[in-house]
Amino acid sequence: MRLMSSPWFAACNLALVALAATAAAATRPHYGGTLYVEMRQSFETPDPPTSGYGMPDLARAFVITSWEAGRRAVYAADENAPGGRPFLDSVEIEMARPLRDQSIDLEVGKTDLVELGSSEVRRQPAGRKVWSSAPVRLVALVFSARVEDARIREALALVVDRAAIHNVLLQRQGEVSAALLPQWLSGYAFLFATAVDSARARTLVAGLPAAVRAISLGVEDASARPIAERIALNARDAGLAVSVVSQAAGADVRLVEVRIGSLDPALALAGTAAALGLSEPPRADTPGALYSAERALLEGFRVIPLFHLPDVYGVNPRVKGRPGITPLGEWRFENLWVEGGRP
Amino acid sequence: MTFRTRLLLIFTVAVVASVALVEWLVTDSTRQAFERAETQRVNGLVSQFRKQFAQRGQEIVRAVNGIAASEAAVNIAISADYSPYYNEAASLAAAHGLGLLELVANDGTIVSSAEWPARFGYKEEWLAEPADWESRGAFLQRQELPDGVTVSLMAVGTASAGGRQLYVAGGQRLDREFLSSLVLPEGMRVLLYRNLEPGFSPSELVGGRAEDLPRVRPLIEQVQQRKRELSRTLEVVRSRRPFTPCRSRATRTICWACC
Repeated sequence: MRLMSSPWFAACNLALVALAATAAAATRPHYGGTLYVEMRQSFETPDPPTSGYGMPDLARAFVITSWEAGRRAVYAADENAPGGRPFLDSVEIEMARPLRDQSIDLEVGKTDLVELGSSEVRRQPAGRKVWSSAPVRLVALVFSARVEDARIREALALVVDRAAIHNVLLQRQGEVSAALLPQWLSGYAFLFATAVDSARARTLVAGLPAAVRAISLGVEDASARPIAERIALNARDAGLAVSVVSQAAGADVRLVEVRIGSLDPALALAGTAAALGLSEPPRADTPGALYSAERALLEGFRVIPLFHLPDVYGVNPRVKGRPGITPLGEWRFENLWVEGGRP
Repeated sequence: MTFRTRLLLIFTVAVVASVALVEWLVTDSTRQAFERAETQRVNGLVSQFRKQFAQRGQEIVRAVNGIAASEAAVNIAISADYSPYYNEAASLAAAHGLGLLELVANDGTIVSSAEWPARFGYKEEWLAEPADWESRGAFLQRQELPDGVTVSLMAVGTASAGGRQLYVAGGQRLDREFLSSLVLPEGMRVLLYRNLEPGFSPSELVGGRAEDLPRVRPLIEQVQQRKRELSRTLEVVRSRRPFTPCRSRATRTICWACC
């Protein structure tokens, strides 16, 4: 009791209260500051993009103030944004940054927000703040109309070792899938078989002439080339001679990435089918009908779904607030704030 | 015929015969001496080539053992999950000057491949066979690559830790680049035939010119049939060489081949 009534005890208490107040102020939302973002994509258009994911999402709460096509974009807070003025004063985006460079910039504290590829996710130090969307990017093989023999398409579908690619090349990011819609959205993706059946694939193509068994696989994104190379290697097990080319146009089969565009499974399926050049599925109101519609789309193996991948971002510790991306991968930076000076 | 004429004839015949005999003896002994010298030169050149080849093999063995003894290899060997290391072979190969390098788990599963990164998870059957790799040194190996089959000079080292093993199989492709890196005596040319086909395949002759093909083909076919080392002297036309005074003059070229 004597200790508690002493002036030293009171002074200590005051100091603790002041320290707690300072700490609280440090993590409380506040206005000001610039969020520095780096991205791999490069928009070479004369004006900033207005549709799609990522940068176009900023138009909800920010206005473009500077645009250097393919290089740099600066957005300033919109004082009249529908949800109120964002905490950030501005968002500065550097485009066309390779994933490795982005990761290094984040590591040395040069930027606030970077995209993380599968190999970069593995290299992140323990405790790194990471934002991840739901698996919303469908990676699939899409055959051109030139490949008429369904046995070739089915053989390739049967021989791709999705698990090996997922474990090693994708570092277990996202999920293996043979369905167009991800499991989290449809609930039935697991019903589409992903198992490898090399023996059946070999049987399918056994009687085909060598010229028919030689196909080109187009992959434009250099970061996806290791996946394409592995698919080409798997294809040899079935007796297919797949050559990987960097020009997707004109290739017999393309490795493509399509984004799931809606939280409504029926809308998402229709959007995905349109993006892949498949016929429009009938409107499905029940999970059963949706499953049947998706099954019908995948018949004939014109499209071979492989994986559903998330968008993954590495975040500088000075960025505060709830994750700045939604499950669909949209940017929501209006409720973020930054602490300290320029990174 | 008079006695005088007969005597002259006999004397002439005797002189011609003795001159011919002497010339034959001299020519024969000279040819033998020349062939002996040539054989010695061939043996010298072949042994020099063999020495260089063996030296390359030792360099590969040293590089492979260096990788096997490195901390990186030990870390991979004891790792429960190999997936983060699928790209490791490329950087290790570049650091140690190897064209080919594979890191292979105890059961023969490829962890990482420098020459064919997509091959992770596949089995390397020949490595899974029991063998004393340390005493074997460098050896010739048929190697499947994305752009076809080749022959390579390989060595295998083993990284062991915590009761687990990691095979380090590294080497060099035997190709035009390999041949050009050999330091050869003035005027010596090495042609390499990669014996990958059942018969003679002109595309497998490395370092040769079009005019070499018909001349070396019989020798290679003989080696393929007999499966043993052979040595032949071939007549080749030394032509299209700038600043060569003996252009279009036939010269002798010694060919040596082993199976």
